[in-house]
Amino acid sequence: MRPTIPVLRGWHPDVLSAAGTQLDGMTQTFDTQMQTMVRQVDATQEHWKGEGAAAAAARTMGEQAAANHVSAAILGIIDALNAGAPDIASAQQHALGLVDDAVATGCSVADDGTVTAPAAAAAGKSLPGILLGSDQAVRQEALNTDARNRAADLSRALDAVAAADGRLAAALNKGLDALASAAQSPPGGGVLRPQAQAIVDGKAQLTPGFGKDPAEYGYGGVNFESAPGKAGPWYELGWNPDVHSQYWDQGNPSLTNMGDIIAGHPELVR
Amino acid sequence: VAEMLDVDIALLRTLGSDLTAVADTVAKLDGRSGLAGVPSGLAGSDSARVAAGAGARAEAAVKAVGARVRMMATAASSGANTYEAADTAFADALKSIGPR
Repeated sequence: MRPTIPVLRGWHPDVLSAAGTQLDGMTQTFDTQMQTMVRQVDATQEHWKGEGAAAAAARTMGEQAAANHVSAAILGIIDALNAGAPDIASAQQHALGLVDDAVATGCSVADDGTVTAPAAAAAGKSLPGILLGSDQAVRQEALNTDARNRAADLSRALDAVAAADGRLAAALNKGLDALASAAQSPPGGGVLRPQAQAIVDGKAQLTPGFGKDPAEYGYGGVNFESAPGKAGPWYELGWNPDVHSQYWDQGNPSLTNMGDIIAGHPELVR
Repeated sequence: VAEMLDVDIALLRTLGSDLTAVADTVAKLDGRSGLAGVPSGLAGSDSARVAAGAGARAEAAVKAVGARVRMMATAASSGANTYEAADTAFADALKSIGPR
């Protein structure tokens, strides 16, 4: 929305940077606390075995993934605030500079950005007045032309302010949409396919040899990305738990994907 | 096949109190005050209108996670009690059979 000149003078875009800094502090504290939670639960796993321990580990992984999504969404908002502050400040400074310059040459500037030339008689000391000599009608026309040009420049500058405001509003809306998506899908909120649910419910199990390959077309599963692993395919080397378990390695896309699934965010799985 | 049960009750109680401390810290986080100045600092702008509720929503999102951590803490603490009670009940049941 295009602001009036008085409204634009009252803007303080630095409030956006301050807001970003405050949100960043909150997010850092939040992330630190979530890391603490993970360490605390991890520390119990050596001396805690059983269904409860497994559930605690899974729940923790799910909460960490959920927290990561919330933090990422808030970081999107922070980035929008930090980018919007100089964007709006620059557009504001340019527009108000044009207003001040016009006023300094004797023009009047209305709240909506309309520029009116001074009367020629009162413009004797202005540059157009000096250059065009004493013919009052000619001087007035020159002053009017100058005012129209200034009004056009100011109109473009005010449009630029509105565009900067619009960009920030759109970026904030995008961040808030991501936040809503992250907040509305708590861990465990996903729905399992019948085959997986049967395993969870204890009505089916993965038999030795694992039966039908769930990654095959027609099984009904959805494949997700995983790195091949540094030591090569585990099934070509015989059973090698270290190689096989590389899908849990930091940086392996499969770790992120499994975290998203546990957190109830199947839409984020790649 | 269920995994072999092994529980350190004291460790579980410690986990409960540690997770409570995490939940308490998250519950105190403030996402509102920083954005409170935006509506007046950019009065009449679209940005101000959108930003007006952003702080509260960010704060609510992190606190929702914190609330679930608190439930984890409660589950750990009550789980410790339950494990202990089950152990005691099992011992009592054996004792109640009487002398061999």
